Amino acid sequence: METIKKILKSLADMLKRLFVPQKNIRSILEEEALSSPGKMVAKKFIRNRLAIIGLFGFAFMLFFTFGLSIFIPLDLFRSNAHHANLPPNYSYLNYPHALEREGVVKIDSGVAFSIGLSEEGNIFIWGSNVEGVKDIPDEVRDANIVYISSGTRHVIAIDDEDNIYMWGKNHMQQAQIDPRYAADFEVDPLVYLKGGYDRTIGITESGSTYVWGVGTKIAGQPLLRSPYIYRDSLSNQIKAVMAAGNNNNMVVLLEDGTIRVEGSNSAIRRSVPTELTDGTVFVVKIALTYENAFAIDDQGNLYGWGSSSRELINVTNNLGELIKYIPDEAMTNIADIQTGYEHAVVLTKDGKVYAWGSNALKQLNVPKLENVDRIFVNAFQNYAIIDGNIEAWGLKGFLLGTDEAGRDFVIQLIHGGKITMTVGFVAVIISVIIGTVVGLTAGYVGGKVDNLLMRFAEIVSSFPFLPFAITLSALLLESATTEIQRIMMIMVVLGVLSWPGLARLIRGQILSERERDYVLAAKALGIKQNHIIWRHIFPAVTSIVLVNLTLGYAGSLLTEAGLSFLGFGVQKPSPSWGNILTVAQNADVFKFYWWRWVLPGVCIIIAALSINLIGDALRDAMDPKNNER
Amino acid sequence: MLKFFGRRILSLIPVIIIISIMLFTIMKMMPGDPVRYMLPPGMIQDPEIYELLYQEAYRKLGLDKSIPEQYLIWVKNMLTGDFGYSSYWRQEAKEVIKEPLVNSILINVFSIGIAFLISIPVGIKSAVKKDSFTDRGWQVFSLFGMSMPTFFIGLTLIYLVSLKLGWLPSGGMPYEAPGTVGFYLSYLKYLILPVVTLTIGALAGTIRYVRGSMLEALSRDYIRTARAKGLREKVVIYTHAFRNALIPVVTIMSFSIIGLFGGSAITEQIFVWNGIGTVLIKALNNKDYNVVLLMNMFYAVLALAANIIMDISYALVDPRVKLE
Repeated sequence: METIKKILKSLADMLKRLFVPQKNIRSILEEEALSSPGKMVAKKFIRNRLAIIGLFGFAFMLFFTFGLSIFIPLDLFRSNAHHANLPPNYSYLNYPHALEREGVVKIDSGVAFSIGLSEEGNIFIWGSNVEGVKDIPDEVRDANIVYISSGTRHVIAIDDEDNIYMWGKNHMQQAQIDPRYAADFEVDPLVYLKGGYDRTIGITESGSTYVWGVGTKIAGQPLLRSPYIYRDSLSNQIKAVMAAGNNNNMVVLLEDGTIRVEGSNSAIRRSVPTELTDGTVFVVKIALTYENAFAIDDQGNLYGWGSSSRELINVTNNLGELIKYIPDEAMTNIADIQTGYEHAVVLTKDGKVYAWGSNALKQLNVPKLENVDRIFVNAFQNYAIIDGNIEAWGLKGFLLGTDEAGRDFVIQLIHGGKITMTVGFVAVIISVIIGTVVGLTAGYVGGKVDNLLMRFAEIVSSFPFLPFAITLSALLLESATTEIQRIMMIMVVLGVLSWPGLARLIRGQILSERERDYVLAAKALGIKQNHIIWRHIFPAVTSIVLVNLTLGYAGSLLTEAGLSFLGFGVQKPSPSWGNILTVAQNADVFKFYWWRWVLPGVCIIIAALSINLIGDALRDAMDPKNNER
Repeated sequence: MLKFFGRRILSLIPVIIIISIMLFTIMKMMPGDPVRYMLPPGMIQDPEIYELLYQEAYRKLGLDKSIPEQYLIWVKNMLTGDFGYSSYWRQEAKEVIKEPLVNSILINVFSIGIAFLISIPVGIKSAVKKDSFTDRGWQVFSLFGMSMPTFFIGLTLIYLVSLKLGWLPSGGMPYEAPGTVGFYLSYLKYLILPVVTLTIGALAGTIRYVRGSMLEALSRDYIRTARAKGLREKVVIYTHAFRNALIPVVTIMSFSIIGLFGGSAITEQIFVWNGIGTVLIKALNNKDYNVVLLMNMFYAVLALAANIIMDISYALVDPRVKLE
């Protein structure tokens, strides 16, 4: 108890000394009280402001890498092309309060942004500025917008004078009226426009459906080639059109309450419930995900069909058991259904919200909601309107951005740091052990052994470190088969090449220490040689060893990073801060996706800086010459 | 004195022999068939001709002899100035590294020179005005410099100076015809960023070192005596303290030559500078043993030479060093 109190008190003192200016100066008696050398060192260390900063930095890096890696597993196989190379942004759900004040008409979402339309005809866009969607054109700001829709990376707005505005990603002409059909639209104007998966869907006055954007380049696909024009005998009865994310299917809802599935013979087309197409039930709303479709009828019953592998519809497995993915409450009494790319959300008639599907990006984390009036779901973002207030859930963003596969970059930094910190530490331990043993033996035994060992140290240190480390690891990496083996090799290479400096320092210290009287006394008492070396002489060099350990740790962190950067260190797919940084050699990544090389660099700097601060403070604290104040 | 250096150089001979044996053994342990890298299968369709060419190349690389024999031949060839044939570049290994060597020496000499030109005055100032604002500033700078990987310094410089400001090329070598004025001008342009990167990397360590040894010298009794005699502070600092502080600085100078030459491999890679580091990496990736061996021997000899230079300069700056 006493000791705990003491420790707590000293910790509190430490913090106080860090942040509160010092006023009371202790009396000389207090200051000069006798204390053991170890205590002196600890005291001086704690009193050093920089040392404490270093300790905090290092503790933070330890927590960031080893601590967080327990909770956040590394999943190298997960990928999500939608989120590739997104800059750090954690505000995907931070809707502007002006939108809430002006009254929400509609909210729609793309991959990493959302767009809202207020009752005053203003547009708000928040989230990541994917492909410039946030750069709202001036004429749109001036216009009185009445309709909005969002595709994956482009947005559509229509004003009260029927002017159409589109901006955002336009690599497949999805963000413009398809010029090939501009003439058609002069004769037969568009009455409905909707953004889809990098495409735009339009319905004209006469009921023809046009689809353009992505789709053109998919050769051999039967349908949804772009532009795709849908015209049949029922064409002036089209109520709604939805395109599926698989690029192959389209679902059309007709005025008579029946649906048509167009496109290739995929799961969506094969498994349509017949009652939806033959007029048994009256469908009022349809919604599509990547390979699944949902419909609700006028009674509020839910129908889901399509792919059985995406946890979006109830499926019967091989054993004949029904596996339910859709919550029971979401099957009946439904007012609205909306879908994101991998999940579905329903609003029941009594104002409750249920969600199912993939929760990889926290799309399903619905807060407790009552009396919801409307829901707006798309992509990975969800919004519910309750009494004019907005409630949001889903993908908040990526705090440190994403990589080329759309993986959260913070995960890679955590696990890369774990490997870098471990490799550096083990390497420095190896070098300290070799250096101490060689230095002690050479210094104490002397003579021929000393000569031989020091010659050897000279040989090792005359290999220039980096080129030889590169050569050695290139050679060793060839013969290593598993990832663990490779990482061990790197540790050994770094450790084995960096001991001579320490060995020389220790030898020098031992040479003078060996001649001291206390050693002579120990010898005279007949104490064993090993005992003399380790118990009597070694403590004299502990300060050298400790300081070398910390400063060497920082050095080996940097070396590992350099080796991995060149491709001779830790190999992918195992991430390390160094090999994450190799992407900087790619001009596009270097120019446009700065966070992918700046952040790992910053991590290395923080870790190395903290360790260097600790090492410096240790050296100062342990240097007896520094004792006077 | 000459006798001392003669002995010192003689004592290096066994070291060089051991190094060369170690390097040679390591290279021979390397998996992969260098002949196949020289003659990629599929290059020649006819198997018989390929076999003939293969055997010829095999002999040309000297692989048909036993390993000790190969080693002796290699040593003999090295001594006569024949450094083997590069299987990747398909020319003499020494031709391969000739131009890169000049490029590497240039950036390294420039950066070592600049680093010491800056760090000696800065280190002295910092030590003399210990704990002043400028001292603290340089301390912070060197701490950051020590904790920053060189490649990150280089990348940041490229991003800021070439990409954002567009002042200097981001990397590469001049494309003008060698020997013209334009060539040298653009050579300088391409030189600046790698040199600045290496200089910043080297500065961090050297400033701390100079400051440390200067502080050590300033705390000695003879400084107190000099001051007590009433000597001017300038004389005290530059003649009494600095002459003594110079000794450890000379040591670190030779170390930084070795370190820089080795470390410049990364910088060269980032700036696409055609130096020996780039050649080493290319040779390693393409299993070009002869070049790798030559490079490593070069580095080792350079390191040993730097050691001897250090000894000589020790004797020059410190009259107490007795050369017995």
